[in-house]
Amino acid sequence: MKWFASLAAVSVVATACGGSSDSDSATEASPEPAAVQELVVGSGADPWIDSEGDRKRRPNYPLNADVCETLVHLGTNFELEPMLASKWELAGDNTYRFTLKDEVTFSDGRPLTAADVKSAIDYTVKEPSIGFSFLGAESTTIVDESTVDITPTKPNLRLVEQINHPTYAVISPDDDPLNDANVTCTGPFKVTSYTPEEKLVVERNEDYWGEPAKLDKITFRFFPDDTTRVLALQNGEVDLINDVPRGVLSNLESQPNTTIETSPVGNVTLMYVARRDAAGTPKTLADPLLRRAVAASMDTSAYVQGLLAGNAEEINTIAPPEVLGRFSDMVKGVDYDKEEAGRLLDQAGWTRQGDGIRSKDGKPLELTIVFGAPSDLVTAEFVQAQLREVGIDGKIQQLDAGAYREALNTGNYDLDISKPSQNDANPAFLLALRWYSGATGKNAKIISPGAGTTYDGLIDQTLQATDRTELQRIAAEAMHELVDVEVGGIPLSGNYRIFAMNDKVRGVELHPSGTNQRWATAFMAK
Amino acid sequence: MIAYALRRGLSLLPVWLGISFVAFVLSSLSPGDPAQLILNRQQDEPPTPAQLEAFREANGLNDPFLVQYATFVAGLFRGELGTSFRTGTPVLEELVSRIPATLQITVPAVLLAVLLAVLIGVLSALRRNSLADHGSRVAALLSDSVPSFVLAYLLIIVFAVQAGLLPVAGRGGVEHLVLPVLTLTLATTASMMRLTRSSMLEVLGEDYMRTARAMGLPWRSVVFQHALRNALIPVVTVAGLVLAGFVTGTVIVETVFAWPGIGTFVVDSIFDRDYPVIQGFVVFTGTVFIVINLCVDLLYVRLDPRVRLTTGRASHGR
Amino acid sequence: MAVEVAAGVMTSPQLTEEVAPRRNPLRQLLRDPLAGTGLALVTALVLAAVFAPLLTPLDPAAVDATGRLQNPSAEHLLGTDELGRDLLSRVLFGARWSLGIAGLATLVVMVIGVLIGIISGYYGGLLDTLVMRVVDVLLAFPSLVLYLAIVGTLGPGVKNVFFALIAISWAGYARIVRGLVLSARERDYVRASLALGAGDRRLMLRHILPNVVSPVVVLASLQAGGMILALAALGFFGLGAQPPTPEWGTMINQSRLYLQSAPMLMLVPGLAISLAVLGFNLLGDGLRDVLDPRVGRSR
Repeated sequence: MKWFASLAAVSVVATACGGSSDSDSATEASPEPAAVQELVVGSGADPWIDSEGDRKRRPNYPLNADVCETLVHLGTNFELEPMLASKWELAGDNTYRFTLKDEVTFSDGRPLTAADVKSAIDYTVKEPSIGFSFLGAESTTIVDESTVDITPTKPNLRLVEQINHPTYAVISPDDDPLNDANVTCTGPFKVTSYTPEEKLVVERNEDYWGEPAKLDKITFRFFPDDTTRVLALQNGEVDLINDVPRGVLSNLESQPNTTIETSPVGNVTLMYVARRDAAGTPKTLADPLLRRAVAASMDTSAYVQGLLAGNAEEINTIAPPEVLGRFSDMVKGVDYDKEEAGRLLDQAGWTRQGDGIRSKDGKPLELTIVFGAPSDLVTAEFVQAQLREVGIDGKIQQLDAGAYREALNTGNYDLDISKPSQNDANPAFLLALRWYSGATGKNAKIISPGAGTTYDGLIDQTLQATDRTELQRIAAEAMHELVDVEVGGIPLSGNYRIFAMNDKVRGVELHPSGTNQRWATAFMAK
Repeated sequence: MIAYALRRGLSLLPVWLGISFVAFVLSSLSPGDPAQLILNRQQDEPPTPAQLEAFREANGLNDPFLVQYATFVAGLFRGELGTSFRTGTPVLEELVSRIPATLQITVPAVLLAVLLAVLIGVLSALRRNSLADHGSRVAALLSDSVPSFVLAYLLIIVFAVQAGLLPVAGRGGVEHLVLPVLTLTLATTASMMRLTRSSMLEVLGEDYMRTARAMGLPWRSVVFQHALRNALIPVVTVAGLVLAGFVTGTVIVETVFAWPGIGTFVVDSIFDRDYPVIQGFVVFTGTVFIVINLCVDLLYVRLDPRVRLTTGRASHGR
Repeated sequence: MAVEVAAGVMTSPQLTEEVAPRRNPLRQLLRDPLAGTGLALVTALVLAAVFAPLLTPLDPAAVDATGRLQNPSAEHLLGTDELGRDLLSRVLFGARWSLGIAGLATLVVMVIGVLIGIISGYYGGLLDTLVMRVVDVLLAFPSLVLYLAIVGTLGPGVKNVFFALIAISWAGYARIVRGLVLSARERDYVRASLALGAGDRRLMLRHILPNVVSPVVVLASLQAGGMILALAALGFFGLGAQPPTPEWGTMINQSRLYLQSAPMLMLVPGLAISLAVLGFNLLGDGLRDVLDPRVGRSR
């Protein structure tokens, strides 16, 4: 079984993390702050210019510069924490009541009011494809100066776990965050300047309502290319890089004055399995035997321990196991078994031909593998090689934002390699967003088990659960149905976020979800 | 001169039309139905047949081929290069906004390349078979053979990674300019340099040069006042070809150094199958190219008094 | 300059009365040390490509997840790449793709270009004007831009790269051949055979083709280097051969992340490209000196 392997991996990681914090504690006994508190972060591609029509709400999503804040915050253990709201409670069958903290002010000194919250959430729900929260223009109502009620248009008790997603951050009502990055928010930092595809500069909000940030200034510079981002750290152009490519981690670890920090697992490298195209016509992988064969042909242990050099965890779930609480063991995963894969393929009528590629009625067994992140090329090539071993010919297509989206929308692919992150506290977040037949996510039609299935029924139940443990159990059951029964998603590795920084940078608390990263505790040591 | 420039410009019009035609035909090469493609990107639901038909009608996709081309060219004359699928902004606007970044590395590289090429070219012509001459030949051979992206990574390994002297990539201060400009210069200097040399050798062998020397004119003034000026004529003529090297070089160098210019934008667009940008880039490059060639022609006229402005086409061989 | 396909080859060779040299061209070629080096390089690479399966027993596509980024060893003479594949095998098999595609494209382009040149020069008139305008555009325009545009539109892959190479590169041949045809037409003996009623096709074959061989061979060997560069550049942009095909430019593209930890991954295919292009350039220069002595050295 895989679970003990993943346990072993956890302990390896634990030692790895422990190792780095050991070296920290040696020097970090009482690190003196440096006179100049400025941090330069090497970040990936400018996330606000990634695809057409998707200019995300700057400057809080998807790169979190800790400028704007949400009503509730996602803790590093995927539990909820108060942020702008001091408390929240069910006030009726389907209504959550949020009580705002008194002390919160915008960076211009104006106090936060319920009207600001309503305006921000109304603004967000105007945008299409915000997922699965069923919020409408009428959903948010002002109760008094510091209280708002939010009532989804459909029964959805998960609202409070969803609303910590940074897309619901509170931005001053007069701002136009889509067109002007210089917004006024309540966070510990405020925007100084934004140069598209070059950098975002933020400075400390001197009048922050909470514990003020230690850094005076953070510059996020954009390095779309993994190589240049790594090299920029090494020659001192930047102090810290987020999302270190796993392929070069060992190389960075051996560098002097470089510290590596890791978070708990926050996203999973997995394959979405396309069952039908946009018109509903079944695709090759509509056959459950084939889906299982594909999953059984993946030597995920070799992938994680070999290709990723152990810098990830072997995993059976399609979301960080931690969100399922003690129920994560309910998801078993399909074990690697080449012979079994071969038997399944034979059983499905795909037989080996001369060149090793299987075929059925003269048609070769070809699967199109798509991916969007250039760093996933290695994964795609690994998958291709694994498929080839069982007689499946994988065609790789690397696609950029728009073309990728188009492929996902039309279903012009069979396997989609992706790294979805758990960005909110709802254990069924990804399950509902991606595989629920009624989800607004584009590819749900292509990959969902389908309306009326056991799976959809379980997702419906997650919307009703009032108790968190019960919720985790239902979500685990749904994930078991998806991964073990339907084989609608094939997990490859559980990834923790990896930051590399020079040893002057201290106090960075890595969040498993990149969109929930906070920076206020970071500082520069002497 | 102005009349000549106009006439020359007009004579380049068919070439420009040719480029625009190539660009137009390109878009019809794209696999798949453009209506499907665009609507699938714009909306969450797959388009219905009625939506597709309406889109085709609204965008003239049902018109005959030549009508579509005429519409396209008419648009070009109004400065319309279409709208980027990816950013939803007019392509021309996107390209123009990236010109400064591209010029920031190309202009210094062109100046440096010309300076080096003429200097070393003349030197190796004057000192034939000297060490400098052989050296420049080897350098030219190497730079003709080593792909510029390999050269760029070699420079990065040496100067940025090993020595840690210069930033690896990205746009920023002057220090960010050094490696991209150096790559671009090294990649384009050699052929220009060898051309200067051979052209200089040719000129030095001409009768009037021998006469000038026989007449006892000082060697230095012979070289610099007569020979160099004449030797530069063919160099200027071929400058157009060298500039082609700069255009392609920029695309590669910008990609390697993550320089946010036109090149990276186009490469990103290619991966995004952003056909209007690809198409617009061809027309844009073509236009720039023709303008530069026109300038080269005019410079040629200035340098070579033998070219009579009255002859429609300068007699320099093409 | 290495980014542009052999821009310097457009020096139109002047036609001599006796084009075919009387001396043994091969011996003459070998006497020139640089040209000899070029010939040796090209021969070695072609042999390496042809006998790749004999030179290395390892499958260039065999992934070994636990043996990635190995240093050179007895088993892997040049070490392994990011997927544990043998680097030597990949470079050798890569030669098949790079040289094969470039060679095939050069041949096809040569035939197309010569045909277009003959037809254009022979029939003249509007056709000739049109063809030469197109040639002007193709020769003047930065070819990589057109390659990128064509492959970018059609989609990545060897087939489309091949198509792009052919669609653009015939122009150089067409111009040279057309010039030769035009001047041959003026030749007395051609006029005479025309007057004697020789048919179009016979005339072309008998009198024009032999004169075309030398300059076309020179251009082809120079252009082969340019083709390899163009292929490598498209591979570098990720538009060339698709995984797991080992193609030199693609290999460089994929090795970028390992610039430091495994620079061999970039240096080896980079060296292979450079040597191949250098070989063809030296050979082309030498051939030009031997076959076309009236055209001065350009470098």
